Amino acid sequence: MTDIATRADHLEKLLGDPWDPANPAGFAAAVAADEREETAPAAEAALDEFGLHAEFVPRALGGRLERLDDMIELMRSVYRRDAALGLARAGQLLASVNVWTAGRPEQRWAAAELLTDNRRMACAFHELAHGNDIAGNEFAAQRAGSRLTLHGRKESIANLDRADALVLLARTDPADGPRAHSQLFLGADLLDPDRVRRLARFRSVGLRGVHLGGMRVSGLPVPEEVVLGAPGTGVETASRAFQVTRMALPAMSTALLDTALRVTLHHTRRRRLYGRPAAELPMVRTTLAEAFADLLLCEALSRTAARALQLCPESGSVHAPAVKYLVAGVLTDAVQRLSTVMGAEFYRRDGRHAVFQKIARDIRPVGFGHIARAACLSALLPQLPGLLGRARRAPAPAPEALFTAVAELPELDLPGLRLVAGGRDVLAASLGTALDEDLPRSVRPLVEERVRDFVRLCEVGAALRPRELSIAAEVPVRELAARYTVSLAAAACLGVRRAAAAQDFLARPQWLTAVLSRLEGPAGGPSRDLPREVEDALIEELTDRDDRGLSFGLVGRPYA
Amino acid sequence: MTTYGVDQVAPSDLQRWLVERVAEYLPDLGEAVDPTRQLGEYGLDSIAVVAFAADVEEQLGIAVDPTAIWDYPSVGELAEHLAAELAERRPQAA
Repeated sequence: MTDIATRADHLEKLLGDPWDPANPAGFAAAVAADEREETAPAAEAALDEFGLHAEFVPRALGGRLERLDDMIELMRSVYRRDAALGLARAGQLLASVNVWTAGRPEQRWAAAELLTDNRRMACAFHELAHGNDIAGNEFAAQRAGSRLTLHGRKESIANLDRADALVLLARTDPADGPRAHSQLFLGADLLDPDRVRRLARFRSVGLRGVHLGGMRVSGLPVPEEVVLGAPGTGVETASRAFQVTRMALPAMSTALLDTALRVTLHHTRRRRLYGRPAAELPMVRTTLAEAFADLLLCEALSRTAARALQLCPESGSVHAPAVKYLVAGVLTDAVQRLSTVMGAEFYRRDGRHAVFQKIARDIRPVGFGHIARAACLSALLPQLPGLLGRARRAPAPAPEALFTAVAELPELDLPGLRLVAGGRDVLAASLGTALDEDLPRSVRPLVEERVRDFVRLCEVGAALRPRELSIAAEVPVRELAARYTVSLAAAACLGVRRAAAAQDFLARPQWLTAVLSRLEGPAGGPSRDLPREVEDALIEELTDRDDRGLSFGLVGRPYA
Repeated sequence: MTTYGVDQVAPSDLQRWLVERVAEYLPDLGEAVDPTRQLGEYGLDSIAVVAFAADVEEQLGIAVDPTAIWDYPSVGELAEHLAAELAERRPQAA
């Protein structure tokens, strides 16, 4: 298996046609498994046959991970069928990115061997009492001679019961401070049942098939070699490594909107109301077109951010929370609006469209799983004055390679990621040059508006006082960070259109008009109505792709 | 606010500037920042440290990660560290 298109096609074929009710890895099987709070065994087997976990292992360690954008696109094949299946597998990345970032060679090889062998790792960071404040974690690893002794609780950990190895965050210094925690990488065989009590499975509304477990550990001795990286660097390693997952997991979740839109389109094209197909009713058309635009917008931002992590890695600390914040919000809202078009059909747990109610539940954790959207705004805020100041002083076009999947990428350098961007964000800086470009006439006023908004944001940002930026920041100040993410999304969409091949749908102005109109909304104001001809172009493309069995995202690739 | 350029390499001057700068991040501070005290004791939390690091990086024109503030947690230690970093950079900048 070589290039991404071949790999994606192969995976699609292994998983089969999701609409076929007899496919044991299809939508019907996924819904039935969801009712049992499981994932479909045939789908799990297909992923193992494909050797999916190798997609999370860097090539240098014998895996197939070279480009984050490719890995994300491939995972969309899994997410489009069942988000629980997707998360349970992508969750391997949560644990392993820390090992790739900070592990010794033998730790890296051990993790790589485990994953390429289809075994699983769990990322045991979470403690319910501390939420996203991982620096408050209490689970302790105390030194006793050449060993460590573990004490404490970890909760709501995906796949804990099936993991062959764990990455844990543990307090190694009783005094508070940023150097108080270390990460541990240990085999599940070290979890002596006399010292480790498994907690009952945590049950959830969405993603029911994901096994969420917990454990209470009392005086478990482990060898010192389990420490990952230098002692005291646990939080720092996570801040680097999780730049990958904070953008990759929401980016994979765009496939949920693809499926929700596909189901809605199927339903409304077949259902006749008031003497015509429901899909032709103005309100339905508008909702479908807007959801399509939202999907393109989410994929444009996440593609650009994922590519930037390899091309200009200094801005990962800004792009990762921006993707998480904006993409999770847009996806959740879009599925919600589609449910109003599905009407009563949205509420059914049986029948051809039952997968919709599952998506409506499964999409919600994108907003709070791994890290909450609110915490992402808090992470962005302190960087805002520097980012806005520099974007204002030094506007510059962004490198073309950020926007097109065709261009090759340098190797991903995880240990080289920075915890702050130092004001450097090529995407934001490109907005200041957007009006110099050869823009389609129909789009220009919308671009002017986005640029004006960014200029205003820069002015306000420059006047922010440092003490306004803390975790206790006032709501209007936090909203500036949200507006920054909207500016990034606009810049990403402009870049994607500019870099698109001439005959591509993405080179046309209509989708850009649509996404820029939609972006009025996430900033706080109402989004603008799409002009009729824009809506027509989107609906035409959408139905054409539906007829040809293509994905609705940026790539428009064949779906089984 | 006084801003020094990248030429400023004397730890004592850098320390004076940092004392002033860090006060901007600390609401309700009734006294001058003691350069020997840990910044954590003043309530400079992890998010403020990110902002402070970015600010210092911007002003001095060298890369300053929050980890520098974690590893040199008082103004005095940080000034020494940054002065050394600046001194190292200067021949390249010239």
